[in-house]
Amino acid sequence: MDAGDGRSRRVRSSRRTLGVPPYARAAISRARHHPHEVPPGAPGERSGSCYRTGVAAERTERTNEQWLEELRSSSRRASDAALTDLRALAAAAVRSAARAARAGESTLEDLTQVALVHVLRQLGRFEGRSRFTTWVYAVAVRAALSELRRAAYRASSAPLPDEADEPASTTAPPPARAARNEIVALMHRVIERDLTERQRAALLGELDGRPRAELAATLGTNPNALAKLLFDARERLLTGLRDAGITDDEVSEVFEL
Amino acid sequence: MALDPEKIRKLARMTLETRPAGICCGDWIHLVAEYVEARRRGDALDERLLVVEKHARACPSCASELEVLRRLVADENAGA
Repeated sequence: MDAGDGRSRRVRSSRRTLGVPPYARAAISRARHHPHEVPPGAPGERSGSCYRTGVAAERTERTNEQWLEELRSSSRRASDAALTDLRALAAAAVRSAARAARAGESTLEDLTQVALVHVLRQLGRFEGRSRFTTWVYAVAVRAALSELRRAAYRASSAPLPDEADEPASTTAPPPARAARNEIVALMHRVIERDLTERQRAALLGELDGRPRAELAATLGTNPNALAKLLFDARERLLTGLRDAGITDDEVSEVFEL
Repeated sequence: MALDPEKIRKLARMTLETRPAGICCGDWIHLVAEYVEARRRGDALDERLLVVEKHARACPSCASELEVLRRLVADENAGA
């Protein structure tokens, strides 16, 4: 399973750069451009065992507060050491996710980079109610499975409208627009293919701003049943997005919601 | 059928406001670590964490993530 044609790289790139908090930018930059850079004396340098075993058994133990402090530290040495261990955690999570998805090992490195960036972007949402490492696993597993779902979806679906309708161009669309186009095309596809006729009529009526009572009468139903139709349609859309590897955060960012 | 940009944005907002079992996937991911740890300790789950289970039953994507996370944490605790 390949998670990385040229187009998907552009789209992923836009996802990686949207909404990154300032303290994470330098770390993300280092993670992207020097993924194997291990600062002298950093725990990951000892044996690289995190990659071999799939679980970060030899990382430096830190409290939740220490993790956050070091990752946000202005000290390059402190943040590099934490970043190295964080990467090992992400790698372990990615390996487990890939195993569950029966994906090959060829994309593990790319997936780890994606997962690491997701974790760094989401740091501000960690509330300290669990161990930091478990939270990292959760975010990294989602990032990896989302990428793998996206790759599977691309492999099984027809070209997106913007690809099919436009002549091949050597000029790539801006990453944010590419991501938006992908989501818009997917939403259209779910509406056209996955919704029932009544769900589609209810949803399009709602989008047109038609009053619920009038819409219910048109569909020969009552407001409660209409609400259920609408909920089911929206849930199907949500599932369609998730099945294609697109997360809520990405939708929020792309549409600035 | 081609929805105009305004409707697409409205649809995106409506979709994100859909919350299987009362919580969206974006919030669920930030609760699931606490849920998995509480489960491992055998703690009684309060309503806030029970939502994690309910959501996973309604959302196949989150359910698969929960399964991987459970296994990962179990492996780590077993010293794998």
